[in-house]
Amino acid sequence: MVSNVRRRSVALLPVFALLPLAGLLTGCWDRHEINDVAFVVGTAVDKEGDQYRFSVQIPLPGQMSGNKGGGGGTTGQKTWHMVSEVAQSPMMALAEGQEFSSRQVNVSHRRMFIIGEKAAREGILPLLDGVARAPQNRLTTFVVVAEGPASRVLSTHVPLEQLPSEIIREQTIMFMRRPPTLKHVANILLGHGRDLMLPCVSVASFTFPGQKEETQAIRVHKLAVFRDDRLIAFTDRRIGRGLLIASGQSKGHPVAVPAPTGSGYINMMFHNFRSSISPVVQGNRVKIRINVRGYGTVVENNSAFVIHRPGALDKLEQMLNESVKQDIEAAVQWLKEHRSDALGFGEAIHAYRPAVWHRIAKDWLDVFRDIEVEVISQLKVENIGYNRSPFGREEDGLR
Amino acid sequence: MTGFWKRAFRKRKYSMDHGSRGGAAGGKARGGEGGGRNGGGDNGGGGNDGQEPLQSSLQANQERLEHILQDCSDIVFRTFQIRGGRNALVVYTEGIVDTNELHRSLLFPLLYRIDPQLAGEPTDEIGTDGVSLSQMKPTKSVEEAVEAILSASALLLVDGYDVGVVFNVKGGTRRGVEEPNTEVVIRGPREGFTENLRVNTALLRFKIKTPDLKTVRFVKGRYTRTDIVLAYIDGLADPRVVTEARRRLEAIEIDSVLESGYIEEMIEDHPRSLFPQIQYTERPDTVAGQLLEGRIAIFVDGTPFVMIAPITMWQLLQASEDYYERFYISNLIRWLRLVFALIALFLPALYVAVITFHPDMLPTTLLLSVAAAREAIPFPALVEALIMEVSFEALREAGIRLPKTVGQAVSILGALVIGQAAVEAGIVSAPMVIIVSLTGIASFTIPRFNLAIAIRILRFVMIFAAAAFGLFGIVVATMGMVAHLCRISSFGLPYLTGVTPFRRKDHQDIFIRMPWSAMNYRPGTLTDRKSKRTDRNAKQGLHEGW
Repeated sequence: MVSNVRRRSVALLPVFALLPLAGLLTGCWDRHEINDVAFVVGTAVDKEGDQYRFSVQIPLPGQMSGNKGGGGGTTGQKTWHMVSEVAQSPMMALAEGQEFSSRQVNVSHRRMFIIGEKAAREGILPLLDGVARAPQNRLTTFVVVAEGPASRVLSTHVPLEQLPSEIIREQTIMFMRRPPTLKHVANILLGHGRDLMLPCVSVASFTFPGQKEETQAIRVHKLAVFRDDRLIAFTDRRIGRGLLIASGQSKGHPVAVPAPTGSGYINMMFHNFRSSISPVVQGNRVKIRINVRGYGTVVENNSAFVIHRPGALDKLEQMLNESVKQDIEAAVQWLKEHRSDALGFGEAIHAYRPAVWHRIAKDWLDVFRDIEVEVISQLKVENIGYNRSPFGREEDGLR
Repeated sequence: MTGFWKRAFRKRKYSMDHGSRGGAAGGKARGGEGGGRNGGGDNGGGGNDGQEPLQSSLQANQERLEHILQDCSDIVFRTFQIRGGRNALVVYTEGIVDTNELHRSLLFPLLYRIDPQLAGEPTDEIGTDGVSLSQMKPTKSVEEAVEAILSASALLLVDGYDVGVVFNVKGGTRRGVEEPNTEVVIRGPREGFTENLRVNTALLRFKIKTPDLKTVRFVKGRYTRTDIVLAYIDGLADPRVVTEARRRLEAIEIDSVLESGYIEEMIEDHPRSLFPQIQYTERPDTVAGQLLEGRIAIFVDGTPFVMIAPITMWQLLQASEDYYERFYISNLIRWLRLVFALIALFLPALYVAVITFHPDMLPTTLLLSVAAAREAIPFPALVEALIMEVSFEALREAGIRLPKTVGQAVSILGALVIGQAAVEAGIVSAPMVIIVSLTGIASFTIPRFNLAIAIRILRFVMIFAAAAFGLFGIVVATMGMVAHLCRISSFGLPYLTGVTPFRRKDHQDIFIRMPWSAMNYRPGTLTDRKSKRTDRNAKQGLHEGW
């Protein structure tokens, strides 16, 4: 046995002796030193005529940290660099954009994919394939829509973070609980009974009194609502909040309720809530029920209303739920007007009552326009804050 | 003359044939059997089969011994007259014999106190009744006598008798029992083995007081005549392992044994393997613990390192303190070691692979800071890793060999040069310094130095595999390593025993260390006959206080 093994291993000896030579043959073709690669952290797509402008943002590592090591490497002041090219398709533009770069462009670290308003209105399907096909791409890239040209948003410098794409990303995370990624977008486009609802990024500029220079900031406060792959409209802030809370995507929902007695407002913040959308079938008719539950905190009470009195909290919750209900109903009404099922009512019917869905799926948008929506808001105030009575008011004046 | 002696010596223990007995017999000894080695001239002197007998003439014996031991300035010949009787001779080696003891118990009584009745008696009578030393052995052959003299005994010869007496008066100065330097514990015995074999076996005997603890003696090394002791506990150790160990020890042909490493390389199962198949330790408690789990130990005179076999790789990741501290921390530290053993093996390779082949795998912000650090580095990641790893190894080697006072200077220099200056000069990047130092720390967490060595070597293999093929290369190299680990064995015991082949009972002491109250089994790997450590029933009420 042993000798057998030995004989076999002796026979294999030349093979093993030649094996290290294979290492010389590899050529290590996949090897790229990290300082020969330009990592793209965000891309912006705009439509120009019938061509696409594809802009990529490349961070300059040499500028990003305080490391003062040696010579060579990138130079300059800005921490990022933008390259942009126009071609008939985004990927062609990217390929041609390589001509502008001394380093291998690598999109594996793209975390933001920003679609310009015009491109979004003309349909995002042509954009997506190139973004998803190569294995380099992350399917966890966030997809947002820019108000106006996307490259303008991506090149807005805000000193808060080192990269504009990072700012947009962080703000998107602040804005939505689960920001839509490429994967979600593909799922929604492939599925039935739900339309896309993407965060909208805009550039806000303001001037302070007495200052000539304009300060620019990136802002995420609205939603871009789609029908199929086309952008229909941007919501305003109130409608956006209603959509977010109805879809359970809101990170923090502020509610301001006029004080039940006297003037002033009571402001509350809701972080911890859930929402569910479920169909209720009554005979031939389908009704959608939106149920919102959660707990919140009073953050401000600038009225003379004393919250911790017996019954006062109930009254407050009643008013608050009424206000939330109105927000959601307004949002639903807005969706109906724009004929976009961004909350996924059809999907809910499909999931809970497939038979009903198959009956109505064909003319779903017509059904959707007239569908009855019942909103049940069951928010509770759990915490009235650190001071029970309104701060700094004399007790006599309290009601 | 010396050269000739050496050559003859190499052939057989002592060739007595040169000089007076003529060279022809020496030639005969070369090819001859044991019986023919004395040139056939003299009779064997009952029971001394084939060895040269002592003469009855003291004069002849002294000449013979002086001839054999000529030019050995440390051998002392002392002739004297036993009180009122015959001439006698004491031969011993200076320095390794306790001369005070020799004087007090042998010379003094024989010179002044001996019963005149005894003075004319045969040597062994005198030895038995006249000398107050505890260990005594009569000898009739010159070879035995010489060997006894050289191994710290005193030889007493009396004129007119062809029997000598050997007294054990071992003495001389050797290092005392100290705390072992290589295996320091916080909790646990502070004593360590010394260079003295008998002190070492005594340290073991202090711990295991059973007649089942067997210590079988071998002598190896044609020049060094080194004592080797095979220790095991009869009934716990697998008899097959014991037999095999005896066979391998007996088969050793070597001219010198200066350290247990000489023996280790002769008896391990796979001498070409990178992985150590024999554990060594300086700690008597470790040896005792291993013997009690059914393993064998091999003591070698002249070194404080005792070898233990058969072993598994898991054992090399355990320290004796695992069993002394409470089991929570033992377990946590065991896992820590396991994780850091993997770090020591893979981290630089992973870094090289990820940086050069798979930057997509890093989180973006981490990637950007690594990229920022590497921005100005002129070398590829592989070269950078090699520079750092090699200089770290050099630094480590320099630190070990240098005297302690200089060693500090080396470590400061190393920290400055490797750590700071290299980064500031833009030769290597700061992340690489972190990787290398983390790897260094990780390799120090491996409790057994010989396993750490294997990992250190394999780390470079991994780095090259990573540089050539990325993660794919690491995976392939790891597969090769694991296949090898599955193949090798230690005294027939598969190296990964417990995990593969899987033994459920062994898992009480591989990745976890059960509390002693629950450690019911010995590792079933070694012997199944007495695998239970304790009887569960006997432990009823152990925790009654709860």
